[in-house]
Amino acid sequence: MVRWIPMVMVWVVGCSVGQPVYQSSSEGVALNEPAMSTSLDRRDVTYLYEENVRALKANGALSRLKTGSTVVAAPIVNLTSEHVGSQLDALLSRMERELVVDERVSVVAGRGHHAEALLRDGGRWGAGYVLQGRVVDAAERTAAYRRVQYFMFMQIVEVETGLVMWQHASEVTKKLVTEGGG
Amino acid sequence: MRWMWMLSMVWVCAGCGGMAYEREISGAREEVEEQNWGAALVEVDRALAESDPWLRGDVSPLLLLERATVLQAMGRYAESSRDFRRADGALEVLELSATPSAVVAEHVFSGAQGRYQSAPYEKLLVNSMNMLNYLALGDEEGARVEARRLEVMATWLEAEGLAVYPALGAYLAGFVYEQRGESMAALRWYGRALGQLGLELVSRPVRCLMEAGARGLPGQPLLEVATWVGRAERCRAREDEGEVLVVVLTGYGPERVTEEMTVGEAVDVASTVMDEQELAATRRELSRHWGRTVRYPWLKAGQISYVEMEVWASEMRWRAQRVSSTGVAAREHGWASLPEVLRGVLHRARARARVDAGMEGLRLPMGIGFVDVGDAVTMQMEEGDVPDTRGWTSLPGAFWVARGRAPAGEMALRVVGSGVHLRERVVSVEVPAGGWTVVVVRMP
Repeated sequence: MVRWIPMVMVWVVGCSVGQPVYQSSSEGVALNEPAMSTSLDRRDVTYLYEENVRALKANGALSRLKTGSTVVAAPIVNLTSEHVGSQLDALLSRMERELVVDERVSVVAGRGHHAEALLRDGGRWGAGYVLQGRVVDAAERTAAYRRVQYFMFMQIVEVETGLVMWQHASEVTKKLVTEGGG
Repeated sequence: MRWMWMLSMVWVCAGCGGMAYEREISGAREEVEEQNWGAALVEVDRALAESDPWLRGDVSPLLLLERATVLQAMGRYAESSRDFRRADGALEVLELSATPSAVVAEHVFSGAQGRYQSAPYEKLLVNSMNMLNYLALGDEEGARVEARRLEVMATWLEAEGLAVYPALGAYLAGFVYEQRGESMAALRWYGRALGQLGLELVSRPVRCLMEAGARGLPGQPLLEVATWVGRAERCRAREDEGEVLVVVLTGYGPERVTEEMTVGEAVDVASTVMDEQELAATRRELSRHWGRTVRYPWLKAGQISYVEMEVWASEMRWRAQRVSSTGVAAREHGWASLPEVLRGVLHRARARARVDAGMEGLRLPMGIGFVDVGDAVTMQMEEGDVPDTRGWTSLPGAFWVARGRAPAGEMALRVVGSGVHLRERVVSVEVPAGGWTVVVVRMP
C-alpha cells in the first residue's frame, strides 16, 4: 500500500497548481521582495533616493545654494535598456520634496523641459539652479542570465555660471538568472 | 510496478499537454491573412482568455506577441507597445526557466511540452517592432530604450553566432539616435544596417552625420563609401518641411507546420550534431524502427508578394527598400536548427523504444483477449509527441522602408506595391515643420 502513495501523489499533483490570491503590503505582507524583474522597483527607487539625499546633505551642498533661490528639477533622462521612466519620475518627486522641506530654496518642476533648455533659458524664468540627472546602464544577456547594471548621475548646476554645485553617482545591479546558473 | 510508474508519467504528461499551438491560433491567422484585424483581435483575445496563465505560461507570451502585431496593424500603437513589452519580459523569463518536469517532458514525451524557445529572428523583431510603435507615437525615449534592448540581444546572439544585427532594427535605431542628436550612436547603427542594406537608404543620413563630425567604428569602412552617394541631397531640412519615414509591413511570416520523415532519414540529418557514442546508441536502439516515420516542426515560408514598393507624396516618388524578410530568416534558421530538432525527436523515439522493450511480454486482460501494454503505452506516447509548432504567426513577411522630405502640413501618402500583386494603400499623415514623423503601413 505504502508503495502506491508516491504514485497517487503524482496523479493528484500532476496537473494541479495553486490558486492565485491578492495580497497587500498594508496587511504586513512583505511584497517588495524578492526582485521581480530587471527593471527598477520600489526598493531600488528608495535606495537611490536615500543614497542621493545622504550625499546631498553630507556634502553640505544645500547650504551652498543661495538662500531664497529657485531650483528647477529637470526630468531624469533614461538612457538604459529598461522602460524605467515612471520610476525615475517617482524618484525625482521624492527628491523635489526633500528640497521643499528644507525651505532654503523654492522648487519648480521643470517637467516637459530638457535640462539643456533649462540651463540655457532658466535664467529668464528666474531659475537659479537646475537639478538634473541621467541613468545609463551596462546590460548583458547570455543563455543563462540577463544582468542590468544601472549607473545614476545626479547634479545641481548653477544656471548663471554653469558651476556644478553638487553631484553624485549611485549604482544598482539587477539580474535575472536561472536558478543555479550563477 | 515499474510499468505502473511509466503509465503514471504518460497519464500526467498527456493530461497536461494542450492542443498544438498552430490549431489554437489558426482562426486568428486566417483573419490576419484576410486583413480582418478586428476579427483577428477577437480570435487572439479568445485564445488568451482560454490560456490559463498559471498552466500555460509557455503560450501566453506568444499570444501577447500575436495581439501586439494585430494592434499595431490597427494603428493602436500604445496598446501594441504595452503587449510587446509584456511579451518581451515574459519570453525572457520563460527562456531562463527550465523546470525539471518540462525538461523531462520535452526529452521523453513531446517537443511541444518543453519551454518555448523563440527563434533568433523572432527575438530581434520584438524590439524592432516595438521601436516602430514608439516612433509612430513620436516617443523618442521609448524608441531609444527599445534600441538599447535590441543592442543587448543582438550583441549576445551575434557573439553566439546565431544571428547578425537585423537590418530593420539597425536602421530604425540609427533613425532614433539621429533624431535625438546622438550622432556617434546613430552612425554606429547605420553602419550595422549598411552591411545588409546597400547604400541607397543610408547614404544621406550617413553623409550628413559624417559632415557634422561623427565618425564610425573601425570595422565600418562602408560608411566612407556611403558619403559619396546621393551628394546632391541637402543635409538640413528647410523650416517649412519635415522628415517622413514610411515603414511598410507586407505579407505574412513563416508558418510552423508538422512534417514527417523516416527514422533513418532523421538519424542521417541529426548525425551531424551527435557524437559517435550517441549515434551508435541511437542506431542500436532504433534499429527495429528504421522505416517508421517521425514528426517534426518545419517553417513554411510565406509567399513573396511584391518585388517593388514605392511611396508617392504628392508628385514626389520615394522608392522603398526591402530591409528584412522573415521568410529568408526563417529558412536559414530552419535549416540551421533542423539537426538539433531531429536529435530531440530521436531522443523521444528512443525513450519509446526503451519503454516498449521494458514491457516486453506484459499483457493485460481486456474483453475476451489481451492487450499488449508495451504497444498501448508507446502508442499513447507517440500520439502525445506533438511537434513544437509554436511560433509568432502574425509576423509580417517583409519590411520595406522609404524616407523623404515633404512640405509641412497634412498630406496623403500613396503606397504602391507591385510584383505578384499590385496593391495600393493611401494613408493620411501630418508632417511637422522642422520635425519628423514615422508612418506604419500594413499590407497583405
